[in-house]
Amino acid sequence: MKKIIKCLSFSVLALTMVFLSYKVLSWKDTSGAYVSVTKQLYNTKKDMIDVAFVGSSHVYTSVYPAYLWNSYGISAFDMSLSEQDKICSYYCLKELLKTQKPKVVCLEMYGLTFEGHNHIGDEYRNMLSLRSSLNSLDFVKNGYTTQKPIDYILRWPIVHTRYKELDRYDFRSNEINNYSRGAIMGWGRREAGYMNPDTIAIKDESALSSENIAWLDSFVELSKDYGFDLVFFLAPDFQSPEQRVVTNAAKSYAFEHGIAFFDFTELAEELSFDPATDMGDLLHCNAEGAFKITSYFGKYLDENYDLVDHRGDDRYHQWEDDYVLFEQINQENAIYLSAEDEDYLDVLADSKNLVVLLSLDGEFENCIEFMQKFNVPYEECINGGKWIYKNGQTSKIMDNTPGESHIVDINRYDAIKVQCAPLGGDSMSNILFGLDQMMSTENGLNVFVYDEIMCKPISKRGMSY
Amino acid sequence: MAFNSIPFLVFFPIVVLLYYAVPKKLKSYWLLIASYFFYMSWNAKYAILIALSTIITFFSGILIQKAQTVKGKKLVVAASFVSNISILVFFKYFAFLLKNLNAVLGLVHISPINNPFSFILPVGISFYTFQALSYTVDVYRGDVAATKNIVDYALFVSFFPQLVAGPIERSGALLSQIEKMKEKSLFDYKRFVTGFSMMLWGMFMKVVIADRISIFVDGVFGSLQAVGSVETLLGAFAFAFQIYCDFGGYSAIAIGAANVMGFTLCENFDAPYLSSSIAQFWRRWHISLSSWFRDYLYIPLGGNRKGKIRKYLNLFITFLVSGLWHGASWTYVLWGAIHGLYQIIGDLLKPVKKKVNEFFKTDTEAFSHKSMQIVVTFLLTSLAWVPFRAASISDTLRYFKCMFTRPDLWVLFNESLFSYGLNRTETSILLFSLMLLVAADFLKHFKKETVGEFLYRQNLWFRWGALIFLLLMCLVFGEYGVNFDSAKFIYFQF
Repeated sequence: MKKIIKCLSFSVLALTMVFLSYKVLSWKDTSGAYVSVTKQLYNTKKDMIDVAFVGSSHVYTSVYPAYLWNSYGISAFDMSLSEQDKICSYYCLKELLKTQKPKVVCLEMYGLTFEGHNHIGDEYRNMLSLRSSLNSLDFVKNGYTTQKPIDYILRWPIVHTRYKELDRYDFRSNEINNYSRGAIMGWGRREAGYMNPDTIAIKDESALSSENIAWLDSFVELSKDYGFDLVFFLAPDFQSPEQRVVTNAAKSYAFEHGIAFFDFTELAEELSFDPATDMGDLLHCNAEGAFKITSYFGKYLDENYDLVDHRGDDRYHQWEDDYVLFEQINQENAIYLSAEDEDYLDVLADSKNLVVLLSLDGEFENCIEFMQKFNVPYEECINGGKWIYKNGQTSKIMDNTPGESHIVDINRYDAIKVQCAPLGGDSMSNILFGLDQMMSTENGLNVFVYDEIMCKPISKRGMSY
Repeated sequence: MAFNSIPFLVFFPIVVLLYYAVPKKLKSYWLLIASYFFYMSWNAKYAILIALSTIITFFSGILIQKAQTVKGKKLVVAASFVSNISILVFFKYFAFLLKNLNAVLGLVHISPINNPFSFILPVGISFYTFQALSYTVDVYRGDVAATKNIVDYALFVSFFPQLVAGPIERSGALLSQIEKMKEKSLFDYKRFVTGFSMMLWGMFMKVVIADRISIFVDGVFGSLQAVGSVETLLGAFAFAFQIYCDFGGYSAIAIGAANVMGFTLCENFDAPYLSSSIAQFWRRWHISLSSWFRDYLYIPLGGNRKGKIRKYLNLFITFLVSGLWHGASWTYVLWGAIHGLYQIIGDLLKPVKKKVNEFFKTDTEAFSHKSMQIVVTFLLTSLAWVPFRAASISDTLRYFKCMFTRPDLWVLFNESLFSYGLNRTETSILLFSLMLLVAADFLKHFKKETVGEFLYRQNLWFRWGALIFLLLMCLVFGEYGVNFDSAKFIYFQF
């Protein structure tokens, strides 16, 4: 008996260690900065999501639930993955329906135009994002796979080689996954050209492939089984004529089944959608484009559905936090776009949730006036020093005493070290974030900015006058 | 179903659980079914060949025992050998023989003969054929009595842990354990724990060391246009470790798996690279095969009983056949020939070495002298592995040419060695693992203990920690799954 207990105890201990190792090695969206929409879903309490948007990256870049929340109090969620294929989108929605009862599901149509994946990483993302369950098993059985299904079921044969690429978020969760609502927000611009008006004008239809019909049918079935309304849409996409005729066929399908279809390539003019300013890259909207698409959806949902405004309801804090994240990224963009030092410092002075380190070093006399923006009295600046500015509050952390240094803990993981050059020594004053040098000028004002929400340094600048 | 496969991870626990659950009388039936299932998972139809070999040698045993005259016994032995070796030659060497025949025919301008057969080599055919034949000889010599239980005998030939790559068991050892299995339970906690430990250790040798180092070996042997002396030397050393960990790993898993079920298989490796001579190397490398050749070929040829020249000839023949046993290719024959020559030259040089040692007053018991012997033996065996690994004789010659004519010490400093498939991280994992291997071999060499036995002696916390460490090393750093296209265990092809 004693020996059996020993064997069982060993097995339990070994399995625990294997499980803990798996937690570290498990697949994570490394190309997406460890932001995982499925984790965001799993972190959402039961029956919270009223509107779900399903599809590929075209969804998470063109529909921002934060806009819908801020304007209408709608609890929306982007159940979208990069290169989410048809079969994956079906099983992703089924996963969402395990815990949520959305009233409306909006399905993006990019999936109509491709089968399988060109890049193995996309296949992994599709196949490994869902938790292991009967739903994921069914997905492996039916999904587009180039690997052995057993490897996707066990997962370990695929993920164990991740020891080669482990990073901090393999050992601790990315905080953003606790509240983000699926959108990946960005303000970068890249002119996408303009879709040929002749292509938009094509009204011909090709017959939908059996896979595409089965896909659309499967969503219609789900909508009946789970009692939600289905909406189809096509995010701004620069389609080829061959893709266009498929989209037209899907429109007819939607018409036949009484499903609303929004083609945002056709609606571009009505929305004042400008490819020069509203696209982040050739295929995806930026925040400005997303604002136009999401606003359109907001209006449509508000006018056609009796959706509850959840603003002010504490249970929906994740949507509130998601909006804070949106503002934070917006703020980061403003910092990035501030070419002039004055503008840059103005944005920082108005900032929220940023840790701004200000350091007057060497010959800095002409920079003292900048410190007034952060409410630092002139007298306090005469001998230089280092200050931390955060949410409108400034505190001095040290004077420029030769040879002294000071470490400021920003959070559990990150700290900044500031040090002043010793008298007559070889070493210089410095600002260190981890092992990285953040000092930009020896004479003047050094600024280092850390984003508390995103948990990363976002800017540094040196000003010498 | 290789040992390092998911199906085996399912198969083995089921077999073990049912093995201990079924009544004693049914255990051999259950293991026989499991063994055939195991073998048929590779190629179901080739199970006929094992069955055929089993039937021939089983009845040969009975006939030998019944034969009244020595001549009659010899006739049965000859029949058993001819039929078994014919099957082996046909499936393993037919294409090789035909290829060489065609080469000869080409010399006299006769058109080549097409090979009418296209089949893959039956896994483990050389192993079970030799095991079955040893039974025939053992019965003939009166070392064992012929068994009358065909189930027991069939299990002896096909016992799954050692079926496809040995160790090649003698009937006196394994068959007797199978027969005893019906009388008393073979379960032994110590053997169970050491067996499990040996399985993990073997898996570590295979998936962490052998399969990782093979990436470097493949890189070097596949880049003969680019490599110089340092790369080729390292490539040869690396292959020495690869084949040791590959085959030694398999043997450790086989021995461990048998232990878990209460069986004891013979040792197959005894820290071979700590040998101080080639002769000693062969007493420690693939022990079950070396002793098979010693008992059933070298000694019947006359061994060392018929003078020096016959001894050398017998040695050389034995090593040539051993080379050919490993594969139907001249590269294996060359490997065998090199080892045969090593042995002969070593024996011839013994008086010279003795005189040199006396002249320099060398303390042959000194650590430095013994270490030097080990290093030289390792160097010689590593050089001999080159034709074993090379794709052809011409590649072998090219490899040696690169090794001895292209000095390139700078590659030790410019990091170009990392471009042969193992980057810095992978090399670090490999070197760390090799240190564990060396430690285990020292343990075996000096303490005469296997890793399993050593761990069993330790406190619970240390043993559990070590086993979980090995488990995680295999699971995380093992070369398997996606992105990995490893050769299977090298010795399956023999």
